[in-house]
Amino acid sequence: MTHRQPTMVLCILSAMMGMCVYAHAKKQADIDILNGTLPDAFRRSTITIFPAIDDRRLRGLPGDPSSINSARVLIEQLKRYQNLRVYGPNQTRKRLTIRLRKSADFRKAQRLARQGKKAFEDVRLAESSRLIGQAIAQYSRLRYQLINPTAVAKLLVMQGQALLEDKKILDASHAFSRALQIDPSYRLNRDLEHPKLFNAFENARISLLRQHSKSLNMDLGQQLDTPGTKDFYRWVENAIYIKVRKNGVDVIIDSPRGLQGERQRLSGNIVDDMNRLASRIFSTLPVGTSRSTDRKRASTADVSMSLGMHAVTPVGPLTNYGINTTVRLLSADGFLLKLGGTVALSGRDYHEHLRQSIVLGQVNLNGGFQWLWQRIGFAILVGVQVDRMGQIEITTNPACKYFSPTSDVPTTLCDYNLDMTRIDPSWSVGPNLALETQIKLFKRISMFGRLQAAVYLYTSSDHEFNWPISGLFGMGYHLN
Amino acid sequence: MRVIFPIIACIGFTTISCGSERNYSGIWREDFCLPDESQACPETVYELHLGRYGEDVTGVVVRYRNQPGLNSFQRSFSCGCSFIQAGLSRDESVSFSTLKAHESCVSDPSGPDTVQCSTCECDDRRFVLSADDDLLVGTLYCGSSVERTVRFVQTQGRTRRQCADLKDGP
Repeated sequence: MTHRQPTMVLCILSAMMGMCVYAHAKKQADIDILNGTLPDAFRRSTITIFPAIDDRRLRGLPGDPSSINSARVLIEQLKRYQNLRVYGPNQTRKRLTIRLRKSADFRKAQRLARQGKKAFEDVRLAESSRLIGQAIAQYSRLRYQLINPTAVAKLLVMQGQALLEDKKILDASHAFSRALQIDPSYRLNRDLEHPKLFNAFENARISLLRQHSKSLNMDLGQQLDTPGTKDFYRWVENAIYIKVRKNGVDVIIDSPRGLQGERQRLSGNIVDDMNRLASRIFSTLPVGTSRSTDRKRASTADVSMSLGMHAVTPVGPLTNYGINTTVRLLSADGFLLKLGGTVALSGRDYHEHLRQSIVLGQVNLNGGFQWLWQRIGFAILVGVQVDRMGQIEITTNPACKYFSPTSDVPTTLCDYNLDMTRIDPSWSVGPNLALETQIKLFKRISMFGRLQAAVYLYTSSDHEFNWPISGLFGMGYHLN
Repeated sequence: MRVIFPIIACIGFTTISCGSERNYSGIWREDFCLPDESQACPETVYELHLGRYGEDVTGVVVRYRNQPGLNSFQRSFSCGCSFIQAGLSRDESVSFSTLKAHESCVSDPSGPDTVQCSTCECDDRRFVLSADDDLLVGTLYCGSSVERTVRFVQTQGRTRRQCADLKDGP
């Protein structure tokens, strides 16, 4: 047992080294990708931008147009990076709304919110506060507050009002603060609301304003870390949350590298400021992936069983069975060159008009393209097919089929000179089309399946055979 | 459409290649003189060597002299061979006529040659048969007149492909 351990350790180390080499084997530096034209197979990083929160509204200002513009300019700057696929706030809102409608958690949150409102109307204050709290927690997990901030803020204010009437002043203030963080423009009407509620809400707003300018606004980031959120947002590769402030823009970037915060102060030139911020955001995001990185030149040789047929013959569709061997050369660009040869023997037709099996030789030379997806390749090829057919003997006379020329059969029943059609061996040439699938089973072994069809445009004798079609299935070896 | 139909047809034919279109090919020997039958044993009995190709039927009909107590279907007892013509098989029936026989028959049945048949084959022989379980049963005609009923059972062996070797071999 012990003598196996060094071998196992060596195997594990070799595998780990191999993985390291694989992990670092990038063909092209990121900067080279960005400087040049992106390759066709390049897969861009997708960025989902959530609707911006205009924190300036907290001050009661109508909102500085330049600050609102800054979010839009930032998105425009991000879209200039050709390796990023940017989904703007409107697209994000639409996509999220569709997904939320299908979410059982969202329906549960709506149900809890309805129950909380009913409890509030029935003056069951403690129960109302609990139910609304549960609804808000559920909405937060789904980040619904970023899609419809007013609805969530309204719920929080209702919760705050219930807490206030239940003499829980601090908890009520906290609920009002949360409501204003989610929707800074949310206000209560002084003429319609109870002065006690109005004053408590305004106090929370002023308190929030005092705390607010001190540090990077991480409250948003804390909201995003709500347990369970990641499950719902697995489909989002990278997300960006924007908060527009009086003198700058705060951004939270949620990428595979985790949550990161960026702040950009406004200097007066919004475009330059947002360009700098976009540059910093870009540097934190994945560049994208080149799907062609694992493609390389390859040559294979394979042997296949062939089941073919001539769809058009004087005796109806005629099958043949044979063996095929093919050599393939695949370039790094996906161009595929294929040379194949088949030897086959025809079967008998339905009425046995064909008096002997036909020996068939087939050579195909094709060029085309192969697309790779993980271990599976799919190729379309066109080329030329050259077929050699052996001697053909056909008769429709049943006596000529049953008896042989050595029989003493009367010529009134069968005349082997008149009732038999004999065609000498012939050549046929025509264009062909081939579809091919390849499944890589092991490092050097692949399974191949092909379907190919041709039409004869030239034949050295008038044999009336045409439309050769064949299906091939076999195994191949990767020569390099 | 011109190409697709043959492909579908070929797949269909491949899967049903052992269909009824090959039925009746092989050797059929007349079944005669069963103990519970009151009918008299015929003097000559028939062996059919059939080849069926779709609806076409061809082959040879060999005539044997019936030897009571012996297996009559031995070449030494053969006394006539005819080629089948105008053979047709539809549904479960088989019908055909024969060309004039290569025959050996004697006008005097009491003569010394006991191998030969005493009666010559009808010049216009016709068989009209139909499948009945594993049998072919039907009627033997000479011209338009019914001669007798016949019943054939299929046997194993190599089908005869010529009449010239009638007396060759064992």
